[in-house]
Amino acid sequence: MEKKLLPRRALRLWQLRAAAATFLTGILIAVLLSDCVFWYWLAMGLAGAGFLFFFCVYYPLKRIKFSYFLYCEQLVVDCGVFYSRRRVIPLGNVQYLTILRTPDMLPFGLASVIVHSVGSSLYLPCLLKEEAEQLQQLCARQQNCD
Amino acid sequence: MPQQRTHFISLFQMIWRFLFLLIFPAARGFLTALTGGNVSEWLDGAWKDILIIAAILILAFAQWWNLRYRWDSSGLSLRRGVLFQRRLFIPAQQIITMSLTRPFYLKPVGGVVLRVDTWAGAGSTTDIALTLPRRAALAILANRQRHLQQADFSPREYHPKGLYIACLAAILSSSFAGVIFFATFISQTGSLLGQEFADRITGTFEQITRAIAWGIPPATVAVAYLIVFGWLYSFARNLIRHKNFVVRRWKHELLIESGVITNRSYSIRLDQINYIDIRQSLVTKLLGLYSVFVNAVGYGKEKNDISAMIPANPWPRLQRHLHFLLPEFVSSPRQVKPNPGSIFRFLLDPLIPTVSIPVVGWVMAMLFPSWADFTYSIVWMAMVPCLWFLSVRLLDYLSSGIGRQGDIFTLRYSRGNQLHTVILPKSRISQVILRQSPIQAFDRRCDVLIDSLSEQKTRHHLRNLDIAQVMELFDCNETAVVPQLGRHKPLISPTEFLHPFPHYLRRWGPFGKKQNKKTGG
Repeated sequence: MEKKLLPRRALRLWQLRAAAATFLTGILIAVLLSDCVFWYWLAMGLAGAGFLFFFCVYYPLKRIKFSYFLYCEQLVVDCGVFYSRRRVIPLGNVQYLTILRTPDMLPFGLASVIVHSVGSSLYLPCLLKEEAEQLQQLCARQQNCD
Repeated sequence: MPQQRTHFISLFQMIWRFLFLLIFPAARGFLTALTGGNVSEWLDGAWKDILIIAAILILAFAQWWNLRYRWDSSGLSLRRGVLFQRRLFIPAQQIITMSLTRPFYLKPVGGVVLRVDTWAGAGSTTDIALTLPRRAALAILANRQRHLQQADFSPREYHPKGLYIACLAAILSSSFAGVIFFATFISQTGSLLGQEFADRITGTFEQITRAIAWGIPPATVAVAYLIVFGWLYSFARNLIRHKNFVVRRWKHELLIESGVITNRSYSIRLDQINYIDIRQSLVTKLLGLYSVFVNAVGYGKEKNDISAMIPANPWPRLQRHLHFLLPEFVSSPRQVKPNPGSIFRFLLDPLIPTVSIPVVGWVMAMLFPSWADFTYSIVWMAMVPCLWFLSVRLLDYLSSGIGRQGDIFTLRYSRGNQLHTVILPKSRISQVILRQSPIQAFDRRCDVLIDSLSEQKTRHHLRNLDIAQVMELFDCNETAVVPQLGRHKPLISPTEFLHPFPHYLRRWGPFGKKQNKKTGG
């Protein structure tokens, strides 16, 4: 199986989520701190900085550094943002897979996958829906072979 | 075999479940007293209390009457419930650990607690626990053993020496448990035997502390004695728990028995042992002693359970016993180990408290000069575990690493104050995580976190190993997917930082350098 990367749509979705969260935080700050000018601007500044950090640094790095592939009957996932992680799960011990789709993923055609193994689990965020289903089928086929 | 009922003593356990109903009689008495009622008024309504007590007894009896079990060669079936009946069946092949516990309070009535554990169920509780008559419980265990034993295999038995049992008890003892016991004992004495008795105990303790303080502040001595006596209490408990320790190996079963006051027997399926853990504390490391623990579902699960297999032994003798009992688990030498420059990665955690505590103590003594003696003595006491931890990490640095022989991995690492050597079959690995921090990226190292198969999350953490070697060892160096790269660059590039793992693909063979030297390569 060739290496799979996260689609650009996943980044757009995360950035959209960051924008929505910052917008809601901004409204909350405006409602709660409008009387205290100093705290209002401080909170707004922090929220803006947080948004920029996630929008421009965290999510792009997260997308670029994420990849997964099947190798030697193992599912290998490279991930992490500042720390790099390679997670290896032997497919023989995988119990089942969950495909998770939140309402905001539907228009982007994305799906997250949770791989449940004995004693551990693994989360693969925002894959293409077809790739998620393909992964589920591959794992099921592997289980049947065992 | 017909369905049978559990031991009648379990009726009392059922009563315990319904005792919450006594809140109604208690509330009635309380309300009568609040509304100014007298004893005769309360007695007028006593029939209600009697009804509730009768309901408790009837409910408990009905539950006990309807709790039935049956054991045959196919497995254990259980029926329980009065209105909502539940039936469950556990196939014999799925039972990993079966244990019999005979506590001292069940001995007079001939009761035994039978526990059955499988991969299913919660990780912290036993799947099924039944209190049975001793004969019935022994018959179930014997029946299971008949299926796991084979005539062509001569059983092997191991009786450790008393001295080694004492060493194991010392390894397992902690002051914390004992201190909690003593604190509870002293605080509860007042409520049980009166305040005068509690004051007398506290006063005696204070007198003894003052008498043998030898110039040290009495408060410090009191803390020290509490820790020492707490440890001794914990040691005595562990010694009694592990007395008469015996291990028997059959073809497909490991049978472990121990205990004097409470007798325990564990029957573990051999093919379901997840890993064995050879542990050392700082003291046993200096004495050259090792203890072996087994990790299997249901073994060592409860608070007072046994989890050891071989008590403290010197390394050659331990290898002999291990080969005798479990030849399937073979340890291998280190093939991947931390580089000399990674010592700081090991020592950083203990160095933080080791340096900061004296500084904080010095500042406190400057701020509160009248408390200086006490502060310094507390600092000295706090330094002991810090230096202990520092020594353990230093030994960990010298001994940690991974070895592989066939499909058996040997992981050497430290957790807390103990050094672990874990022998883990590849089939029992649930997940391998190679984690690289930005600092580790500069010398191409990573931490290896291995989750082993277990009901609860069990993680083994090895620090600062060469990433290329680890990837080759765990067969995750996708050479078939990405072409191999040449020698390392002196500094990491942005591409390498973003995609580190494919950059570390290079040929590596265990002890390759030594072989090359010999062959002149």
